[in-house]
Amino acid sequence: MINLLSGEWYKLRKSKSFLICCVVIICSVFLVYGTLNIGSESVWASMGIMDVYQQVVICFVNMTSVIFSALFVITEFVNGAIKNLVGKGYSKEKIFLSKFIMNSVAVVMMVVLSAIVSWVLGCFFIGTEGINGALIRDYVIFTLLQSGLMIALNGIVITLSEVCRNLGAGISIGIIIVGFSTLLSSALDLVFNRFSISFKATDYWVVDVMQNCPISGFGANVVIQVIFVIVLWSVLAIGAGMWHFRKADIK
Amino acid sequence: MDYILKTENLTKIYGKTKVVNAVNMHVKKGDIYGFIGKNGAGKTTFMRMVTGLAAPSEGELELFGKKDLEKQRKRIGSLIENPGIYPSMTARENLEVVRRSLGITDKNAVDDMLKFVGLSDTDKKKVKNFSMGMKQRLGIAIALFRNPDFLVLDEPINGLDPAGIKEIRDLLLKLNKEKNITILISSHILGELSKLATRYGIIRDGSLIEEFSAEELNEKCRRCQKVFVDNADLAVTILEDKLQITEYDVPEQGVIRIFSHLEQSGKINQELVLGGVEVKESYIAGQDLEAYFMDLLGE
Amino acid sequence: MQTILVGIVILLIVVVGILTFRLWSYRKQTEHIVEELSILAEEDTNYRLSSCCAVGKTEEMIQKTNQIIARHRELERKLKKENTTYRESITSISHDIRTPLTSAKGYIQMLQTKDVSQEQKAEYAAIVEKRLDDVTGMLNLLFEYARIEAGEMVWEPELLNAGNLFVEAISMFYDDFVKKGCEPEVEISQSPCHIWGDKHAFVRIVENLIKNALVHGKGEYRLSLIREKEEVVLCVSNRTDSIEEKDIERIFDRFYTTDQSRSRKTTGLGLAIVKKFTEKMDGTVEASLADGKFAVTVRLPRMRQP
Repeated sequence: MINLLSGEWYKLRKSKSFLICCVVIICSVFLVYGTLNIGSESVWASMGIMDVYQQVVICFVNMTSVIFSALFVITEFVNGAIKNLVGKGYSKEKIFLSKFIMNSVAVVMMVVLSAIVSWVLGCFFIGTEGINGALIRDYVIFTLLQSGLMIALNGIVITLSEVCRNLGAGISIGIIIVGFSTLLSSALDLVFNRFSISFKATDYWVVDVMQNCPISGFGANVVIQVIFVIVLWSVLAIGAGMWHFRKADIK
Repeated sequence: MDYILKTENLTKIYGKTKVVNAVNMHVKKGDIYGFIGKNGAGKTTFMRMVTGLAAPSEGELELFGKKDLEKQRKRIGSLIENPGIYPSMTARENLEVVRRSLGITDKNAVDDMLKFVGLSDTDKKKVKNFSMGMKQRLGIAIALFRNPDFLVLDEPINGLDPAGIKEIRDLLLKLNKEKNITILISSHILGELSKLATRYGIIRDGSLIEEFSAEELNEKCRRCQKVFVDNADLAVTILEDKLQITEYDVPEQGVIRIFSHLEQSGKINQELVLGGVEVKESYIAGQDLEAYFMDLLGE
Repeated sequence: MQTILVGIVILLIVVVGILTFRLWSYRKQTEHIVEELSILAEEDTNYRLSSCCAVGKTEEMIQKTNQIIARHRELERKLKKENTTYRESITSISHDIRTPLTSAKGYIQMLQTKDVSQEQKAEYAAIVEKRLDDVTGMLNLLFEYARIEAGEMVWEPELLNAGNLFVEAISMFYDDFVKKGCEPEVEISQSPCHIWGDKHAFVRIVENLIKNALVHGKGEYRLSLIREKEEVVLCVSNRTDSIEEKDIERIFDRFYTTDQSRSRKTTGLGLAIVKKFTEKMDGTVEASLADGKFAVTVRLPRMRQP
């Protein structure tokens, strides 16, 4: 298993698309700080590093990571490199899992990158006054939670990409999930409400949880709910992915 | 019998069509097995099943005489259709990915392999800028990387120039002789295969219609004198008694093929006529390999 | 206080995690190696060990084991090849010996028929004798080679005058050259050439080289013994049409005969013996082919006369 991961890591290191994604993320941090600056002084007063960081993550990092994940998986099929692994003595499950793990590593790296850059630029633009122990603690917890959510989200994208194996389709699916799935979950909520079911879809859908994740005051309930969502969707994604990959032929 | 590959009723169904239909193939250890068929006859699909890229719909597959395919597949190297390479990386980087994924511990293996296939001076060149021949060579490097005992190659000489084809041919012969590697190679370039193969398998519309060795092929295509007579029995007696000819056969009614004494064809005709046999037609025939295959493939 | 506690707990969890991971890796790696070794143990295969989880020194262990496996495989291959060569040579030698004996028998049978003239009797008898000499010669070569291999040759090194021995050997074959109609070009260095070695061995070297040239060569014979600064260089060359480039590297192998010269006159041992003797006298021997001319060059360390 570790050798599979080693191969994937080497690929990641040499991957141009990963580099581009990281650059995009860095630029997006600048972008967000830039838009804040245009506003009046009072806007600065209320916006902290935390807010900027949150904006960066829920608007840019998720979109970028999803596109990266789709590329990461689908190019394997398009250029036939998957043939070098399948049928060489490794079970299909292991192969899929190794790709999932390495992709998760890449995605977490993107989140951490955005965290660091936001922090650094925040100190530069806003200043270091508001920084205290609580902020640091919140920052770290937020990073951890969002990393987990990002893994779950990209897990879903990877599985769907593996199923469709087409570059255009995969990227479109990724963008649609990130951009529009919240509409669907809100609609579901209305339906449930109509039928007086007290179940709220928006509490359990990854993208919603990602967007609604608080930036301070992480109570036990919140954390547990987030972790539950992460585990639920990750397991579903890995399970479905492994099952499909095992079944399907490599063209 | 030491069979490297043995399939029993191996079948693949896509939708409603049997793309591969109950194929019983036998590849012996040390063979170079030439797999011949038209485009779309099912060669590639069959090879995909052998290497594990596709799952069979029916039938069984045995590798190295065993059924634990996952373990035995470690001993196979394959090149199916296009080589699996990352276009934006160099040849060395591509091989490095393979080396790590397969857990090969020798750090020099990549350089050695590049030298072996003649790609060692490509340093910074990205694979997308490679010529067809270089890409094929890289594909073969990947296939050979784990010191396989069995090579499965699907049309490896596709798109190569004559020099490239000769290189691959020499390489395959060397691997077969020196490292005892069994090779299953498919192609529709008959001339090339006939220089390499020790056994042949003909596939047509998904079914394996014939399997024979290279010697048997030469037998079937041997030069002979073909004589069309009215009375084959009498003719045969004359051949044996008068002319002491024993190397002949009677493939159909009224047709005799004489394999020896080709230079005395005139005398043979004379003796037959003198003995009371009506010789309708007589000529020297020798079936050309290509014609034989075309026949089989149903052209 | 609480943060420190939390910190320590987290640290402990991390450490335990890492240790468990390493343990798991070692276990996976060992299982993997055992599985792969079972492939290697039972089959004739090119397979080498691979690593599944790189941990500790296991990769180095795999690497070193693979080197041993590679050597083993190479030995296996060589052994197979040697066995094949050996079998082939036994077959060809027995054929080579049988042929002149059959021929001799045929002539003897002819001698036993009633109406044979005295002249013919004498002629046939001479032929039979020649055939038997041929067989004796072949068997001698064979036994000599076997003894060299077994290290049973008597070796008495002394200071030899290479030039004199060379001339003696050539003169023994002079008749044969004349019969063939090609007088050889001979060049011998004027100044004395001394070497340290066994007399019988040196004479053998010259004899075998000349014999070889006579049997296989097509003319333009050139025999030379030249004195160089540190070496005495002996060279026998002739025109040939039976040797190809690919034969050069194997020409000194025992029992090696070229494709064309399956003319049943040689055992393929002559040059092998030359090589063995030369090397025993700390010399080198080399074969070359250029413009249809085949040459064997023997270099021996030169001794200064005391």
